Parts: sequence; C-alpha cells; structure tokens
Amino acid sequence: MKYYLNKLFTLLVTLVLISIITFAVFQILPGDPITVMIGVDGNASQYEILKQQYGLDKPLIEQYLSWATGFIRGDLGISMKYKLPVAELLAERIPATLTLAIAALLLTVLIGIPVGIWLARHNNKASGFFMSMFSQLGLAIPSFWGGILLILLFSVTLRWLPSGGYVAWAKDPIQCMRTIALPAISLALGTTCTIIRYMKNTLLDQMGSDYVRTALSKGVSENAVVYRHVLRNALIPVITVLGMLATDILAGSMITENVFSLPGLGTLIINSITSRDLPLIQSGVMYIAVIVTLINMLVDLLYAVIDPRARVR
Amino acid sequence: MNAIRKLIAFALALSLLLSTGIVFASAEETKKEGGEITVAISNEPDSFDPFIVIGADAFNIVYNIYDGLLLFNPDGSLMPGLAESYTVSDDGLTYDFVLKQGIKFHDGSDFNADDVVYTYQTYTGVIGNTPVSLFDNVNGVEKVGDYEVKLSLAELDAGFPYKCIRPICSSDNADNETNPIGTGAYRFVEYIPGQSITLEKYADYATTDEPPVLDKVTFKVMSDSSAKLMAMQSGDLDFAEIAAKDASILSSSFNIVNEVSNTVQVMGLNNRVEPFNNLKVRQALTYAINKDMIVQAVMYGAGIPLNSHMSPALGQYYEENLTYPYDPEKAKELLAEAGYPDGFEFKLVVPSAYPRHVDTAQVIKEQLAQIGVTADIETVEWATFLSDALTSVNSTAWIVGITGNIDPSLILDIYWSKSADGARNWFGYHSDAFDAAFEAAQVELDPAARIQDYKDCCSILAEEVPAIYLEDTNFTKAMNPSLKGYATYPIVYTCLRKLYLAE
Repeated sequence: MKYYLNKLFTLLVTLVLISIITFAVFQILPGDPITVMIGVDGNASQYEILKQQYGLDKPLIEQYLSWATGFIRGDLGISMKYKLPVAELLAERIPATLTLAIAALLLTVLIGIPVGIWLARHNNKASGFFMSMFSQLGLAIPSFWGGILLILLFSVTLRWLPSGGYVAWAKDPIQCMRTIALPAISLALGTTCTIIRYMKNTLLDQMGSDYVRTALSKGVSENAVVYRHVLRNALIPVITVLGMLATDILAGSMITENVFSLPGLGTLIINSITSRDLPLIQSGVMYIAVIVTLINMLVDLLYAVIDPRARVR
Repeated sequence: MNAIRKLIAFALALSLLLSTGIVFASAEETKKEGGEITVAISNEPDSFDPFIVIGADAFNIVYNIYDGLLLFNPDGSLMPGLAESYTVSDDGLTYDFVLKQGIKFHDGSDFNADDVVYTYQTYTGVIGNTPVSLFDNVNGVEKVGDYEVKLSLAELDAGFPYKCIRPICSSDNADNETNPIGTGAYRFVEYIPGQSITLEKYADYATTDEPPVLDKVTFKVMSDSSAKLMAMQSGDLDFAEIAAKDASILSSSFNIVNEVSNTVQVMGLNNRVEPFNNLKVRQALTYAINKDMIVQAVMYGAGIPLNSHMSPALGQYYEENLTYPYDPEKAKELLAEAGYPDGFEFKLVVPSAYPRHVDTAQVIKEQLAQIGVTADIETVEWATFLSDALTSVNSTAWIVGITGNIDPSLILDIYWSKSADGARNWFGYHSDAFDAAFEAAQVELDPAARIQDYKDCCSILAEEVPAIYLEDTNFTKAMNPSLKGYATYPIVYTCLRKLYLAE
C-alpha cells in the first residue's frame, strides 16, 4: 500500500514541476500567442486589446496560479487559438489517438511476438534469413513514406480504403476500422519490426543458457522449453520496449496524423506550441506525463506477473 | 414478313431519332441541381465569430455564411449586399444605407436595421467592449428607420465602403462562435475541430439574385500536400489548393487553375539600420536580384514578378514596368558609390513553416554572392519569426508573403509612418512623399483621383525600395472537372453560390 502511495506522491510532484517548467519555458521563448494570432494578416493595433482580453497583461505568478488552481478544480482553461475549452479539445482528439494506438499495438504484439519467436527458432535456415531481411526493411522505411505508399496502393489504385479522415468507433465501428487500418499498419510497420528483432535476440540469448541445456538433456521437448520456460524470461526486455513504444504512440504520432489527416493529439499539441497556446500546451504536457507514468506502472505490474522475483515486496 | 420489316424499319428510325437527341444533349452542359463537394483547407479556422475572426482561411468560410452591407466582385469592385444603396454626405463623414427588405437570417428571424445597429455597435465596442480596430473611425451608429441606418465617421475615409463588406450578425444571436447565423447563401451545419466544417445550402437566400446550387459543401482540414494529392485521386476531394510542382501530376484528370493570390512576397529590410538605411544599397540589391529566375526556380513559373507593393490582382492600382530591372553590373556600381565596394554581410531570416520562402532565400543568396554581398540564412519557427524578425526593431532582413486586401489602404498602410504607434510598419520606413500621397488618397472621394494617388504611392515605393519586391506567388488550384463556376477573388475567398456541378 505504502508503495503505491509513494508512487502517487512522486507523480504529483512530477506534474507540478513539469507545469512550472513548461510555463517558464514559454515565457522565455520568443513569440507570444497574440503575435501569432495577429500574424501577417491581422491589424497590429489590436495587440494591446487582445492581450488584455486573454489576461496576458497580468503578472506571471498570477497567470500561473490562476491556471494551476483552475486545473486542480478540473477546469483546464480555454484554448487561445481555438476559443474552446481545452478539456473539450482534448476529449475530441483522444479517441482518434487512442484507437490508433490500440490498433497499432495490437498489430505489433500479435504479429511481432510470434514472428520473433519463429525467427529465433529458424535462425539458421534460409527462411529465417529472408524474414530477418524483411524486418530490417520495415525498420528502415520512414513512417510517412510507408504511409503514402499504403495510400497509393489501397486508396488510389484499389479504392478499397479511404485516403484519410477518421470516423469514431462509437459512431460507426466498420467505418472506424476502415479509416484506422492504413494509419495503424503504417505505424505498426516500425514498431512490429522493432519487437520482432528484440524478441528474436532475447530468445536466442536465453536459448544459449545453462538451464535450457539442462532441460533439453532431461528430455523436455523444445516446444515446452521455449513456451513454458524461456519465453517468460525473454519477454521482460520486450515488455520494456513495448512500454516505450506505447508511450510514444499514445503521446500522439504527428507524422502519421498529418499524412492520414487524423484529428489526433500529436497535431494538436504541436500546433499549440506553434501558436504558443499556453492553456492547451500545459494540459497536453500534463497528459503526456500521466501517460508515461501509467504505462510505467503497467509495465511494472506485468513484470510482477511474469517474473516471480519481481513480486517480492 | 412485311409487318416485321416495317417494325424493324420503325425501330431503326426511332433509334436514329433518339440518338441524335442524345448527341444534342451531351453537346451542351447541363447544370445539375444540388450536389455535394469536399474542399481542402490548410489551416483550421480560428473562429466563425465575425467579431473575432482574423485568419484568411476562416474568412473564406465566414464570407459564405454571412453578408455585409456591401459585397465584392472578382475584380475587387463593390456591389450592393444587405444594403441596396447608400449615399454619402457632402463632407464625406456620414453614410446613409438603405437596406433590402424581405431577407431572413438562417434561423428564420427577419433582417432589419436593428441587426445593422447591433453589429456596428459591437464592431465599435459600444456593445461588448471588444472593438475591432478596423472601425476605430466610426463614431456614430444611428437607426433612421426599420430599413435605414446612418454610420458617422470621425475623419474622412474614402475607403470606408470597403470596410462595409464585413459580416452583419443577427441581434438575436448571442453565440456566433458555435452557432453562426448569417444571411449568406450557405448555412453552418457542423464543425468538428481538426477535421471538417460542413455548410449546407440556404434555400431562402435572397441577398443577391444568384441562388446557391450545391446542396452541401464540406471543408476538410488537410495540411499535407501528398495527402491532398491522393485524396483528389481517390475521389475523396473535389477542390484543393496544391503546390505548383504537383500540378503536372493531376493535370490529366483535373482542371488546374493558376491564379494571382494578391500576396506580395518581399525580402523585407530594416530601414532603421545599416546598411539598409542607404537608398543606394537597397537599389543595388534590387538590381542584383533576378526575379524571373526566382519565379521559375521556386514556383515553377506560377508567379508574377513585382516591382512595388501591389499585385496585379487589384488591376486598377497596378502598374507594370516600374523601375529597376535585373542588372548586376549596375548593382556593383551602386554598392561602390554607397561605400561598400567589397560588399557586406547580413542575416536573412526565413520562416521554416513556408518552404517557398526558404527556397527563395537560397536563390537570393546565390544571386547576391555575384555582387559580393553575403546573405547568412537563418531558418526559424513561425512564432519566433514573427517576434524576432518581422516585428522587431532589431531585425535585419527577412522573407515573407504579405497578404493583400480589397482595400488598397490596408495593403499600403504598412509604409505609412503614422499608423497606430507605427504598429505595422515593419520596415521602419519613413517617407514624407509617401505619407503625403497615402494621406491624400484616404480623403479623396473622387474614384479616379484616388486611384492615381495610390498609383503614386506605388511609384514611390518602386523607387525607394524599402523592401525588395519579389513576386505574387500564384495559387494553384485543382478541381474536379465537373465542378464549374469558380471565380478568382482578390482575397482568399471561394464564392460557393457560384459553383455547380455539370452533368
């Protein structure tokens, strides 16, 4: 119990520090939201009026505290660029990012782990060599190029799938799967190949250890050795990497969102930085911090499930 | 046998008759009633509220939902909108608008003088206390009758009618942001942030006698150019602005339109610092830059070289063949005369968000190297560019595209030394001659004389080159071949009610 309370406290302190640092950084950076709003099109004499409207003429501490107290109460503030509540904007974008993340991670796990195992067991055969080459290719292809190739094949030539856009799962599950298919594949290309190679390498590593030789000489079948003993050990580093990949995708994959015109968090957060939209940036950064912590906790839990040594507390 | 022969003959004759009918029908284009199209836009609209909106992409949508007292034509001239006519008092300070009757807002409420009064009182800050500085000069809004309103100005402004294209809002509608209600040909249906804006035809549109044809128009937010290309090819998109170099990919199955954008791409110079405070140096730079080459290299020919801060989009104010052609020898001479026989070095800042400006900088660097001038290119992010390069008094040189307007005074005011705190005078430029011509135009009620005043302004800028005028970077637009009726306007605006699909 104390362990979890400790973790919670650490998380809270981290969040506070992150919010202060983010706020400070954006005060130091050149450019402010009003200048960006006015840009080249607008009338610069509006500057002072707009500054007042958005409360940017108040002292810095007051600005930060008013945001912080609002955040604690659950009021994430109003986006300066979109003129809409930040909570609403995030809520609109999280489904797309979440759906994409789940789809891509499912593909990664369901394809990556079995193929990795297969590769490890067929390491010295020709088939193993070719699959290994493919996995290398998958790693080398940049995601935006892969995405464009997929669109070219499946949307333009075959007309099987839409070339972009997003339909929510809640609205229409079939259409949702159609719009998320290509982006998920394009993302999963890189992550699956990473997992394949990790899985293969750690498995091969483990297969060379003493306990495996002992088990085999005792007459245990190779299948049983791999699936009942070796896999658990090999999975530990793989889960670590999966955790990192999951964090990456959940924080928003801006390139994939751009190519497929998905209304995801990545584009929202990057755009908010370009427009210096502080309320949105703060909440975006908080979200990423929470995601990282949650996934780390999940990975720790999984360790405990797989590795009895990790259960002793 | 005979009967069958007759039947066959009859059938043949009938089919011959019908086929000629079919040939005639396909020879002329039939306007299809209704229809739906999808249009791509690059930036999300910053607002739908006419009292707040600033971005050009947003105005495109807003001008289709709302009407102003006056409307504008493709050539930049004005025509009656919600006001069927107006008169100006002799001293030019009072405008009396007679409003059209029988027009309704999208929610069914009647349009009348109360709405105009509400709108202009909000524009001037009397209501709501958030004035739009464009209307700083309006000091009186008076309802004369149910369909007549008087607007009074503090100072004479010959360009005031241009400001009256701004949207009129309903006095009954408090929330223009999430529920914009106007009198325009298209009504707002839904906005999904980050994705799309949907408009549908307003069946009771009565502001002009051009009723809308298309049933539904969906604007999709798409910033990636390859994604746009593929969406067009797969049929998901009917209309998009594309990069000039992509035109050849689509030209076989789509209509490609290259149009002036009413944007002036400039290499801005800070006239407050050395060496740009020296006229001869600025002239030398203009002589040294080959604008035709920039148009070819960066825009693939889709651009028009400029000599002053005025695009041919506003035909009546534009003059060709103003001073300073490409002449590197003359450039070197002038540099020596100015005291820089060995050239000089300067920092050229460009925004990374706009690849065309970055590419232009590369070409300019090459060209200036020929006369011994070294340009150090610095690429920065947009917000940094705005605050450190464009609006900073410590800047040196930068490249950016400056959006135009229908009203020439809103284009040229950036060179006027007396604009509100010199707020938009990015170049730190001060010329008494320019100020005089500009101020004369502001109060000149005679249209011909006003045009000449603005032309004089442009001539002065062409001679003094406070900035190096590069080109009007054309827009390249690709559209579904059955989409007709498209007209080019001098601002970012697609008049949706003119569009229709042909059979």
